[in-house]
Amino acid sequence: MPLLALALAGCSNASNGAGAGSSALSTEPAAAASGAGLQSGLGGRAQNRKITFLLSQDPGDSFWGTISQGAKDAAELFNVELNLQTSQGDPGKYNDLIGSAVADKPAALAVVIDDPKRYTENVCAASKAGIAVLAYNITQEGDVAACTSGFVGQNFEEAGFLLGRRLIAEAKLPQGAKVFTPVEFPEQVYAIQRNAGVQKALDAIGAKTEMVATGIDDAGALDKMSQYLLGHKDIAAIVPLGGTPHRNIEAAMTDVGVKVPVVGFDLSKPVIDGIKSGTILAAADQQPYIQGFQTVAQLALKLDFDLSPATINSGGGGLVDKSNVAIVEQLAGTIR
Amino acid sequence: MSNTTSGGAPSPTMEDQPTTAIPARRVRTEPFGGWLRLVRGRGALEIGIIFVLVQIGCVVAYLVAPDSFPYLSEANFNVLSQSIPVLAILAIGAGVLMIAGEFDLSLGMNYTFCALVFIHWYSSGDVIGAFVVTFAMGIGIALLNGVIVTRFKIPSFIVTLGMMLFWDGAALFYNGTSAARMQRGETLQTIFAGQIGPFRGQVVWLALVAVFFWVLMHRHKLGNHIFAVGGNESAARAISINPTRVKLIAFGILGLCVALAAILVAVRTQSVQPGTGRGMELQAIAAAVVGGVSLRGGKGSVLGMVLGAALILVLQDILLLSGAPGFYLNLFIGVIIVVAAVFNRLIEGKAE
Repeated sequence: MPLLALALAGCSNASNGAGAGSSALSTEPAAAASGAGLQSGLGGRAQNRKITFLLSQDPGDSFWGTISQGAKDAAELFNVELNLQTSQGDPGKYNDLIGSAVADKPAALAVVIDDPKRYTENVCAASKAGIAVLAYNITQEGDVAACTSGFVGQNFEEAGFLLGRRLIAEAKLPQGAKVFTPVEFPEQVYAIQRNAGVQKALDAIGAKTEMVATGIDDAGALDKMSQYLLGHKDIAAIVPLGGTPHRNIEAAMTDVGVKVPVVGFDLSKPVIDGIKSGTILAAADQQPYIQGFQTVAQLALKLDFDLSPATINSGGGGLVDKSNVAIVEQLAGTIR
Repeated sequence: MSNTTSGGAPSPTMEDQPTTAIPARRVRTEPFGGWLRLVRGRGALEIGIIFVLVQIGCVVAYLVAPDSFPYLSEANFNVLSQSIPVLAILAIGAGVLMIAGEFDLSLGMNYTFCALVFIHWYSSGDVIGAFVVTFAMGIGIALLNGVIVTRFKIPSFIVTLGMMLFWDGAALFYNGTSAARMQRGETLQTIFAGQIGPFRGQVVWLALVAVFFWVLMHRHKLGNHIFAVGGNESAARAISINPTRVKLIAFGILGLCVALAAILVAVRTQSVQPGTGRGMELQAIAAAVVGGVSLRGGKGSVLGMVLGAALILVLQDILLLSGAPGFYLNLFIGVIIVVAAVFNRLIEGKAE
């Protein structure tokens, strides 16, 4: 919090102090503020303050909207120029956006790397061009990791494992149970890793998961989940692996008259309501606001002070359930 | 003006006249024997045959194993009666415009924008305003496409592709990035999503829209004009039909259907994201084509459009009920759309 207060003060005075050895110093007078960071030029030391922040999905999705909000708030606090772009779920377009960013020469770039190979060439080209690259939400190992300076996001597999353990403990699942895991895009890394985490926990009781693609359209997700539940009466529990199936699962169960235990990923107003009513036992919140905010904040620190970004597990190790739902309810859909 | 066939297509041109002499070799090589020629040009008959066969198969499967394939269960009717009407109403809008010889690729974004407008106005407490503005937006967006297409003589494919992107961005600009949410009142729920026996209220809206447009397209002069303009614009003009006026009406019909579908989906889910309708235009066009609407204009039937939409969603239902691997659902749906379209073409007896 003190840092935020300092940064806030700094953003209204986008100027610098004496930054030794930098050739990119602002020529405006220093801000009359306390704090070494501000006196050293936090929020104004680097001249090129443009950060290109690439969203891989539609910002109309509340999850991605919250990431955007975090990024915008940090940009305002740290006085950086934020260029938000989206490929709206098109991987080819996303790769083009990374390529365009290299040509545009921003000071820093925030990317979602949802494929181990697809973006490597452009991400590494950006890094070679001197653009600071930070991954958020999803990242990869291997060559592409060498061209990024860190990652801000949830450890998907760990969160899946936590949820799976919680399900076994609370729902008393029988040996060999069948668990339905609907998800927007089953082929994407977040879905595969979350499912792997859930499955890893379920292995202890010989239970099996099955994924169904729902897309991000609420009505379509509702239809597919309802029809699946009708055709699979032996489902013992449901773990929605993404925000769209999660916020529609209660309606789907009501539509077909099914009542089984649910734990899931990502928060929204309907999920909060489900936790309060007891339909949803627990939710793993990957805290998208932190993914947007910390990504931009770390890049700003990199630009002004050349501080190397750290890898941050935005989700932490906690789950949202009846015991703490009141705390997050007020902020659901905006900050959480 | 010539009489329409049961498929609704007038015959102002030679193209639609019955073939008087079929070469012997053609008869021998025609698929499924010569009887298929008897059902040519009968609109929804082809898709109707497929649909009935599928339904018979489903009923038999249900009777054999009601627990593992609950096709006739009340819960399944509940789901289908909520999902089919939205796609079917969009297919009617897209299909009528296709019969007039035009496309509207901005249908999906128009649908999204209308749903967002409805939620925002309804949430602000202005219920009447919500309906008025939503229908005005839906029809207005489609008519704007129509005016640009007819006034500047640009292919509708290009115009509406551009407008699709425009309204996609406009939805974000209007709504912001978060999903729009509403709390529906009981009256609204009863009217648009109420329980009617094993079905939901959306079915009633589909029936009203389908009957209205069936009468309009197949039993009214305006329908004749739409078929005539789509079939052969020059010939239609020669018999004093104004193609520009007819096409604008067809665009307006699409807008009306889009607005109604948007209201149905908004009331059902009470949550709409700016990206919701992306791809819906292709689903609506696919449903119309599966239902026998010609991509070249001038041919099709309202019943076919409804059955096309129903068939696609029923087949998705069958796949999910019967435990097909959910991971590969789109693979099956894609194959089904292509197979149905090929079957239509074969049964028309026009495959080259």
